[in-house]
Amino acid sequence: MDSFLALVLNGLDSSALILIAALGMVIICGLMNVINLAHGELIMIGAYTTFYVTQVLGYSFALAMVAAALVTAAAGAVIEVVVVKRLVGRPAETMLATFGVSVVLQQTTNLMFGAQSQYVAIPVEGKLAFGKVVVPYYNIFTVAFVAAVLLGTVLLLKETRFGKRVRAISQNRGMAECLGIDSSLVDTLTFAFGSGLAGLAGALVAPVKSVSPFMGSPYLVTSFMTSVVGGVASFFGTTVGSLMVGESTALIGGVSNDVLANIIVFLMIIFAIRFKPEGLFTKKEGR
Amino acid sequence: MKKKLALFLAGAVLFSGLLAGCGKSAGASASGAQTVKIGVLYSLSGVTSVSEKQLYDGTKLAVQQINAAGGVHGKQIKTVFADYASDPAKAADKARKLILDEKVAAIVGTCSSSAVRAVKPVVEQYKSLLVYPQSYEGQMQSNNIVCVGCVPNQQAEIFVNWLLKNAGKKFFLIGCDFVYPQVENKLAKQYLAKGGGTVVGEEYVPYGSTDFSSVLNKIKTSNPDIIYSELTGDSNVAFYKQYAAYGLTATIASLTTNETVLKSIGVAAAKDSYICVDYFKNVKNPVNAAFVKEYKEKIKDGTEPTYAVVGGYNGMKFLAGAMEKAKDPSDTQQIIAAFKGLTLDSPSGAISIDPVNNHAHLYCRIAKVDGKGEINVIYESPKTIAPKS
Repeated sequence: MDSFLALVLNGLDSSALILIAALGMVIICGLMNVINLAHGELIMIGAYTTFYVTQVLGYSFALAMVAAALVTAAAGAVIEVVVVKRLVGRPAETMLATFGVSVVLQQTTNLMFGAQSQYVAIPVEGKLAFGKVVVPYYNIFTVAFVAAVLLGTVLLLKETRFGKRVRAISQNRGMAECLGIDSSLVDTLTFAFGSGLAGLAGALVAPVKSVSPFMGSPYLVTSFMTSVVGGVASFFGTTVGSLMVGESTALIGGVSNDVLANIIVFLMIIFAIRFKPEGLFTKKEGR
Repeated sequence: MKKKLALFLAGAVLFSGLLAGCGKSAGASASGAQTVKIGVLYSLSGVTSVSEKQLYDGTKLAVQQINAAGGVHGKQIKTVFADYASDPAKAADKARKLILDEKVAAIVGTCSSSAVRAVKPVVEQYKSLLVYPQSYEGQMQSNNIVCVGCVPNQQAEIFVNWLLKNAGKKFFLIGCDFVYPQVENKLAKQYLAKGGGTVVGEEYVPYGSTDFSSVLNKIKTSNPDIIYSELTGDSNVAFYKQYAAYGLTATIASLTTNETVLKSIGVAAAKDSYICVDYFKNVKNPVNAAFVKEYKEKIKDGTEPTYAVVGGYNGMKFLAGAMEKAKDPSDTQQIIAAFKGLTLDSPSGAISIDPVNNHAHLYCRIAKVDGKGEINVIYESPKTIAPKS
């Protein structure tokens, strides 16, 4: 029973990291209908910013997280203006162009910092131990922080004027423009916001995973899978999707091994998409 | 007018393509009068690029040294670099291009066991030569491959027996899911059975995975003395960090960690762990002193000289030695023959190539990471160990 609890708690931590990585993609993919293949590299930029601010400049981790969000948001804005805006309505070309951006970002980071993994100190040391269960304090911080970010994002999109504009544009761009909403500016800000979330994800994983130029690809794959399974436009769906993926991997991995867990989880995802291609939770579209 | 312009541009592109093609085939014949072509096959991107950058730095350093000293038979070594992006299938493809299009006399390269095994049929088919600089799990012998990295009887066997005597008897084996850790763990189980140790767990994670929560849980429940690890790359770094976050007490014993990886891991996570490889930066001999000094002068990117750097370096130096011994330095068959029994005063000591199985006689060293994150060599084999491939 103890180790079952341990597995569930580990799965919660994985789910939180998957969720915050996928949240950025859900905003960009779901609200803007843009498939951004440089998403993994945005996470990488967040992680490297955290490394730079804490190890090179010597500031606190909290400041590093803010910096990571802002720097990545700025990078996202640049990508949107230079690349994505010119390819509106052309998903295949957008994918190709953002893939090119991802390669450029990887190699630039490689040239600037080298291919070796960079050290980021863990900001919260120590663990909580009860019975046979061990939960590092950093895991608790991760889950709490991601929950807060999720809540903040949902509130931003539901209650603020900016959020309403974003949703208006995603539902009916022409009408929104008629009502005086600057859709081009809102697009850039939305992309920047999604990128900022990816930057936060990078900051969160930096102390416990590896910070290297090519760290982004696994996150891209997982984020994509999670947002598609959950329903690309639904935050609730993405949360459920992350929990599904995170907990299943942890539980199956705990009972057998991680390789088998990966296989089974991907099969589950294929099944889910096969029978519900629009995702498990979707908004009813009224057209 | 537009049509004519388009036609002209198309013609120009085709013509220049033709020229380039012609030029390439003319120049890519057997090495010219002043140079000998050697292929260098490493990854600059992808999962194994961290280790391969180290191999590449070592090889580059060696080429610079050899050319500065006059080259081989008075000819300069011209390297042709191919990047296979951590993909074994691409490695085979690039090797084929190096041999057939560039007509190199030999190739120095590849890193992971998957990559070298993918290249093996290519070098054997075209009767070329690959110098493989990385330590691996053995069980590969070829007339066309010279391995200068350690094999299990020079590394794992000594390490396991040393750990059983000095660190504990209950082992938890862990690695990424591919051939190298699987074979190493199989052999480790044999050594443990002979030496009186027990295996309390064996886990493989997906290649490149950085999530070890379920593995760490299993380690906690099985309570080993030693975590015996062949993890590499990002997985290795992530494992040490998460192991520290979970506050486990077992000792990590690694076959792959090096000085540069330790910098990524941080002192807290790496403290009191053991490493067994054939070279550490603070090995004391005059060749190494000069080598470390030159490394620090030429390569200023925050990395340290590691066994991977020395592997790439020794591989190239051995190749140059074989080319010097051969009558014609661009004749691959002569170079292959010249490897037998070849000796080298390397940073890791005086080593040599076995006359029978194309592997290297190497020293074995075991180190402990102290409280400041520094490496202390606590065991060095009194002489080189013959390789059993």
